[in-house]
Amino acid sequence: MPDQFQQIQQALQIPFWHRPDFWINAVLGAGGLFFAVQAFREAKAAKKAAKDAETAATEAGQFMTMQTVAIELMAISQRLTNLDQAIKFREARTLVDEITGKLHRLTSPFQGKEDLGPIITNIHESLATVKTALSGVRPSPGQVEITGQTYNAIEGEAATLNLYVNDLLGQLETKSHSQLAT
Amino acid sequence: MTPAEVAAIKPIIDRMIADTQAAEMNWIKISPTGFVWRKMVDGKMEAQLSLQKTVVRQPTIVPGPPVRQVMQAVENYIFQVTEFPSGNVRMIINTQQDPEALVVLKNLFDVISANADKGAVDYLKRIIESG
Repeated sequence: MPDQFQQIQQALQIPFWHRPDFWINAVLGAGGLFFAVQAFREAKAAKKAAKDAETAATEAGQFMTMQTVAIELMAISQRLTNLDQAIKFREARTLVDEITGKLHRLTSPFQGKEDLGPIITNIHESLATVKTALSGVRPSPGQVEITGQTYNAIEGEAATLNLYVNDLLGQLETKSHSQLAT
Repeated sequence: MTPAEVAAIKPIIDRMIADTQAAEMNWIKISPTGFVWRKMVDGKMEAQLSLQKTVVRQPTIVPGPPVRQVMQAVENYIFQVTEFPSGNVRMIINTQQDPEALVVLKNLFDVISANADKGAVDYLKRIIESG
């Protein structure tokens, strides 16, 4: 029993770094830590790459949307520019309904954007004014329209609407170009 | 339209106002903002006068600070004389281009409008009273 006690006492007196099993464990621990750090770095890089890819895809999507919207806005602008002086109430109503629907559809994705929001509000206000002007020339029952009456009623606001549509077009083109540059 | 032309046309429009008030010129409401008067000779239309009111929003500078631009609604009137049966338009006065004619055409429109409303009310009264 005293021998065993002495052996334990001797073993405790030897510093732990003199023991080989300590160094084996230390090397294994350091290796494990190194690989853990490496794995963390790789995962971080992979996450960043995935994020970049997602941003690129979103920007590409937005770019495509802007291009499509710009083309459709150009078509609307041309229709407003070429408003026929002899346009009848029914034709004008169809045109205004069509343009209203299209402009609301095209502008809704950008309405939350700080720089485009005010222009889009102007477009919506102008559309409402065109509609009001058009309702002012709705033919009374049994009455024949006078040539030019509908044109006279809406051409002023149609020109204003066209300006706002072109403002938006300009903004979208600028954004498209700056995205292409980057 | 020059001020001289407006001055020349003013007495004619004043007469039209008087005739409308005297119910000698009966205008027909063709839309909420438009009226026509047709001159009939032997049952055939010889000429047509039309008057239309339009409202245009125009950018107006509001003094500041800060100076800003607002859209303001501006009334305009379009008077048109059409010859029949050819359908040729013999005269157009658009107050957007001829602002000198604004006051006189506005007066005419107001009188026509008031008379049309009065005529409608009289008719309604008549049919109710006769029933």
